[in-house]
Amino acid sequence: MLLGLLKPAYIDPGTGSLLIQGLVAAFVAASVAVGAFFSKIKGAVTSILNRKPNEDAN
Amino acid sequence: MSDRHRSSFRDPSGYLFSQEGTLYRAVSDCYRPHYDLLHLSGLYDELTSSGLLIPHEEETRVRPRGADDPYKVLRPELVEFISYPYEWSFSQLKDAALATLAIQRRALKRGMTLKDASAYNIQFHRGSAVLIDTLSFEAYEAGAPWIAYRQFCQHFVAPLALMAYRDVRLSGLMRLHIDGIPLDLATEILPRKTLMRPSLAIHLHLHAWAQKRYASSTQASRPRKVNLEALTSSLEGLVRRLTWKPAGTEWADYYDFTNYDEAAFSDKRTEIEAFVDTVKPASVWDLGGNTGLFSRITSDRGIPTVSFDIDPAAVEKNYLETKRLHERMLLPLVQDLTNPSPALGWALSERESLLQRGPVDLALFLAMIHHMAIGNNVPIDRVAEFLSNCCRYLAIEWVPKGDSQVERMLSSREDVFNEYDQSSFERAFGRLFTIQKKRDIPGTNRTLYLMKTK
Repeated sequence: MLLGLLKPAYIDPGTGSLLIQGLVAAFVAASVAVGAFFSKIKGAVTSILNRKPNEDAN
Repeated sequence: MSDRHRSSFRDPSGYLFSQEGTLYRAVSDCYRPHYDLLHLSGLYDELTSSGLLIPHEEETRVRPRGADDPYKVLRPELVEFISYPYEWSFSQLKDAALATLAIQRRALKRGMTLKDASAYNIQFHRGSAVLIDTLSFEAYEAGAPWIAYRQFCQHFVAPLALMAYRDVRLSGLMRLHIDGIPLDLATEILPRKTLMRPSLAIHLHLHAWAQKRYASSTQASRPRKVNLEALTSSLEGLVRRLTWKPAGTEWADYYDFTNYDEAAFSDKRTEIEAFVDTVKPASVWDLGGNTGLFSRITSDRGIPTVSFDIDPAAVEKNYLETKRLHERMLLPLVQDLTNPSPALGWALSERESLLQRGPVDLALFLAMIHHMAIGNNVPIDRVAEFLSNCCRYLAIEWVPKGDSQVERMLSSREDVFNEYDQSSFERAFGRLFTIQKKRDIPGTNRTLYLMKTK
């Protein structure tokens, strides 16, 4: 698949270390997505809660 | 005959050599495209201007002897004192890790990546962690994995996690394992609660499992496409969250419990200042420098000073203070003088011993003699011999048996130190040194000496 991207290295990158990186990056990307999702929900809830007192005041 | 450094042999991209006392780096022909890209991409300028990479001049007239003509010869700016990760405090190793990741992040933005992530490639230069290996970069192809990921985890993540979660003294494992702490060993020692930390669970525990699982795999690996920016961010977050606070150790609070009163302390300081002004040293080692109070006499005068201490808490405090004050001339390091850093690595030539990195112009050996002679049973003449190999000038403080510190040391053991008296001390040191000044410290029973090696 991506063998072409693997240049000969003078240090041993370790097969396990190479394989796990995809998983790590996918996990980080998923965490960022989940974080963004929850911050959107949090933002929406906060804006609703903040709006109510103003509307009451009006 | 080749003038190549014996420690410089792993990377075919180039090597270090010396001529007439000047250090050079040869760039091999095979590294030409990467070296050119380092400059053309603007990465070299960006990293050197931000103090993350050691700057160099290209030399056209110097060529290594006994070797093929290289593509380039570089003359890098010199680092005053080469130190090793097993001599760093927690925050020094953490700052070295963060510097490595900051470099990787900037490299990725300019189409390059670090092809190695050795902690030994980072040095403390004028108060900052800086990459000294200019040949650590290569062209980056989007989606390729990080070749140096294993090395980064072994050199930085494993020791930092062990120091933060188990015991700060475990950095000593770096002295035993020259290519970083094996991940399976780190995960054996780390407490189980680290499995609950997602980043440590992945970068250490799962990583160690994957190494073991695929260790005997003979098939060519087929890694997935990797988002290296995400990987770098994850490692940065992990390293930033690792913390260690020095507390409750014997020496970090030393100055609060000495038997000096304020006036005596001030007199001692004045005498040492006078010694320094007499010698005018180009470089100084403070052996047993604690949190660096006396080391700052010389570093504040602009003299490169290394402040060694056995206590990682004292060294941590000292390092954090150098950062707070933006001190460029003081380098605190962990060093056990009863068992100093040895020569290490292949043919004992990859890492230099403490003595190989000397001798220094002036060594301070203040309130230390009793720790060597009584605390570690070293005969005084052998202390003199070691110190004569360390320095050209020596500022040393004699601490007699009547001193409360010595009495405390002898309170729980038999006094077998019949030779521990001032005349024996002067006789032993007089064989290797000329005593140039001798000053009693008023209000104490201690004496300061300035000596010059014979």
